[in-house]
Amino acid sequence: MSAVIARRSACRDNLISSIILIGGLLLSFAGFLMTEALEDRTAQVEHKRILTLASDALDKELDINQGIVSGISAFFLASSFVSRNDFSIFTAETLRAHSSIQALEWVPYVRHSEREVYRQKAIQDGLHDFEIRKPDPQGQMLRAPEQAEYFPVFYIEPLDKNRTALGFDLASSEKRLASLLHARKTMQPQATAAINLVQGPGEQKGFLLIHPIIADDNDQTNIAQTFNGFALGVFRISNLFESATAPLSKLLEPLALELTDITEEENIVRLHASSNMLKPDLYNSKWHASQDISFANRTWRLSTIATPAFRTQYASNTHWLVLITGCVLSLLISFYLRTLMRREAEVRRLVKQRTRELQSSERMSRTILENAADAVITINGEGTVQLFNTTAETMFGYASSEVVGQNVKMLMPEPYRSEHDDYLHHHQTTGEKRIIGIGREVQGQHKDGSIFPINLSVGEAHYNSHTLFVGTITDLTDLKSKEQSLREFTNRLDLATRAGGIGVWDYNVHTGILNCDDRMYELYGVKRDSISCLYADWHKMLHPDDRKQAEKKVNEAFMGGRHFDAEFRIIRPDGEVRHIQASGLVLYDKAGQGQRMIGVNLDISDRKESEQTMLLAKQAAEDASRQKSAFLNVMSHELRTPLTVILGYLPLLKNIERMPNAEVIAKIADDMDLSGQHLMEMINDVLDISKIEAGQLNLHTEQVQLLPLFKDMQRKFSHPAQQKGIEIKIECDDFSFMVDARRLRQILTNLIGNALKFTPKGSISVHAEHTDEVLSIMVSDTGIGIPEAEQAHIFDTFRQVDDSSTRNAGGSGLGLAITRRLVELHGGTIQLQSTPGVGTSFTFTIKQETDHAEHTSG
Amino acid sequence: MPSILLAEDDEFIGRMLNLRLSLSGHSVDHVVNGQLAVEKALEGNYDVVLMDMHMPIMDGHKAASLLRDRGYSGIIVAVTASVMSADSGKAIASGCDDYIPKPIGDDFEQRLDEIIKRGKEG
Repeated sequence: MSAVIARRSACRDNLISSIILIGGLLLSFAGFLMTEALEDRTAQVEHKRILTLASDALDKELDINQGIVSGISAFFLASSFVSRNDFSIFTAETLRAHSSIQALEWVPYVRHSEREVYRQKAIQDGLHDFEIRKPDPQGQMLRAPEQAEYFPVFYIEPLDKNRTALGFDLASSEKRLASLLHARKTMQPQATAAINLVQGPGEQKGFLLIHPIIADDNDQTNIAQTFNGFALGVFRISNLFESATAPLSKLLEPLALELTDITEEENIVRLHASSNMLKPDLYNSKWHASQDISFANRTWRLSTIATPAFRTQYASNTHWLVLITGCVLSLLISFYLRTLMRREAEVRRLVKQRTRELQSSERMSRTILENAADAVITINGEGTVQLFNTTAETMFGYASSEVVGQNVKMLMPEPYRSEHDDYLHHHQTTGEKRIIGIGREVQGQHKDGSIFPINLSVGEAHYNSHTLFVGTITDLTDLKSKEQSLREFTNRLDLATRAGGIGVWDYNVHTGILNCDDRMYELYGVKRDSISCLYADWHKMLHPDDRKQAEKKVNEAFMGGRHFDAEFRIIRPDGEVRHIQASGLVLYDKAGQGQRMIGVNLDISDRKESEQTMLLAKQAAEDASRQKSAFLNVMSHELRTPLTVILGYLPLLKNIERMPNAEVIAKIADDMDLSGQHLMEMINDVLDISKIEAGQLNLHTEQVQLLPLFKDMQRKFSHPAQQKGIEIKIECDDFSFMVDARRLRQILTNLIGNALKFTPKGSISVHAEHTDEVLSIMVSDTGIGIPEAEQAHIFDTFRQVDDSSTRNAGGSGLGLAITRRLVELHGGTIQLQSTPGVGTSFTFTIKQETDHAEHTSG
Repeated sequence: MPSILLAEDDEFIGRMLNLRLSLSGHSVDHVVNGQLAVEKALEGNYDVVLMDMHMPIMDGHKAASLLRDRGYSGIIVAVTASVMSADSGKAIASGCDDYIPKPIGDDFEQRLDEIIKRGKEG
């Protein structure tokens, strides 16, 4: 929730600072606009002022020009006759002073009758080709046709520049004629509309200023008599304007400027324009200004436009400064404000958090107190109840309001009630803490009057110089009833253990006392009186091999394992060994220290025994299976070896075209023969051993003379022995013994054959001796011997092969296994003594039996 | 003429294999245990070593792996009479390139030549 508030507050702060920022920026922008407008206003005012200056200057110049023309008029009026030369002299100075004057002229009023007179005058003045002329539609100046009256240009200065205009009849142009007649009629100077000047440098606009030469005092009726034509000036407007405004040129330079004739509304003519006057539309109208000038019946308008160049003269960067400063200030203020507000928000947040923590802490204290499992009652020094929590309400049946302010005695039955004041008094006077801090079992009294057992602990607290006693009370009613149940349960358990033959014990680790029940004594086979009931006694009875393990388990249980589970053997006083299964549980004190362990013992000897038997049986079965499988594996390999020889040779004998020579075939046949015999031998051995193991081999014993039998054996091996250079010795008296002769031969064949195989040089001896009961025969050699590790397994089936070290000597590998079994069938044993590199001797015994015929293997 | 080192402890089988191989135009050196086979293989230059797996002193598995450990790169073919198929796998794991089961058939020489040829190509 605080996060939401904080976020909301941060939002508000952000909004405020944003508004201030935006407001500041807007104000800055307004300031910027106002400053800019102010600057514009200054420029506009200045613009107007310059325009007025320029128009005044132009006005003055026009006045001067008008004065020049009126001067000429006055000159004519004042003179009875003005010669061409007079005119030239009169105008010369003016022309020099005013470059804007294209021409100054006298245009006389000529009646047709006077035409020739004027022509003659001109000729006299040296102008031989003078004629009154008029332009034809193609502009060619031709002699003017006869008319009632003419207004020819008669005097003109400067003549050289304007010679083409000489004799030109101004009446030939209707507009000009109108101007002339208007001037004569009004007797006022008259300016014409703009004309294109053909004379003079460049093409520019000009105008004529016409001044009638009429005496002022003449009345209208005598005009015809006093009218002497017109004084006339031709002015170049651009030159005129420039010379008029020359002193202002610097001021005007940045202004675009245009001079127009606006006399005729429908025909406004541009008279002059500055070179930068291009498109007035480009500029805002506020930069436009104009002033009208009236003279000689015409109205001109001078318009100016302030170009950016002009404006920059008055423009400072103040408005930009205002804008930038404003923006920066706004940003700074907004930032500062934001920081300020953030700090404030942080402080607000912290205050809220602290408040909340305090509230929560207080709430927690109260909640703990209210929800304490124990009743909590606080009283003051007088025994008046100050606090009575919810659990106390439930426990005593009073509402808090009924108890608070009352003496705590109301919650006690007699005799506690009467004693209580004394307790308090005693404590306060002596300071002896008889009841403080002690958990005592006392009694409480319920509102309904019932009395119940409680456990009371009292703490003393000092609060603002008052003494408070805090009582913590546990209702023991449940506990008491549980104790009762436990007692009953224990009795039942006792009954059960007795029935199940389970011994129960209780061992106190501090005292070392091991309490045992009667059944325990029975299990351990001791009388209760004969023993001191200590842990040490039990320890003594443990089987030495199991003692360590059992002790370790006990210790583990006490070290924190809690549970004790063990199996061990004990030796009872009568020497009998019993298997015991023990289980126990450690009981801890409040500090977590193991105090006691209680548990049971159970005699599991019978179970152990059957388990052991089963384990052995299983092992035996597994061994047998393993042996059988190994036997089969080796057997198969052994049978394959001679077969490989036989089958390997066969392809050589099948191919008639590539039959080997006779000698080779003979060798092949030998090998195949031997392999066949070997195979046969092996199969016989296997059959023998199967028979023996199946218990189907019967002995046929009889009295046998041993010496001849030995000699026979010697003969049998004489050929291979001689080949190896080995002597076979017989050491035997002549006697007979009850034995199966065939099997005895088989035993001797195996032993002598073996000896021969493993004896590279030296001799083999067969030694026999006997008592009435036992015949003992030893076959010894001087051979390579049998390594000690091999000796134990030498009689196993296929031991030779399995070992793979001595197989080269041939044989089925079953010989010794069969030998041992045959000896055992005769009730004897076979032993071997061997030293590697020195020799080996096998010694076997045969027992004299009376009951030969029925002796079978098995 | 392919040269062959035959390691076979059984006298009769050794003789038989020697004869079969000689008659089919192989030159054969015969040793009777793994240790001799290792020595002989390392000093000679054989096209193939025919290795019986069951031999005294040092069996074929050990001999094959010893040869590989010593960097012998020639072909080693296990010739084994074991019926268990796991044994042929064990022979390959020991470092043999191929194996031929006993008893050997009519096609023994042909198979051997194929193995030699394949080994030379590879």
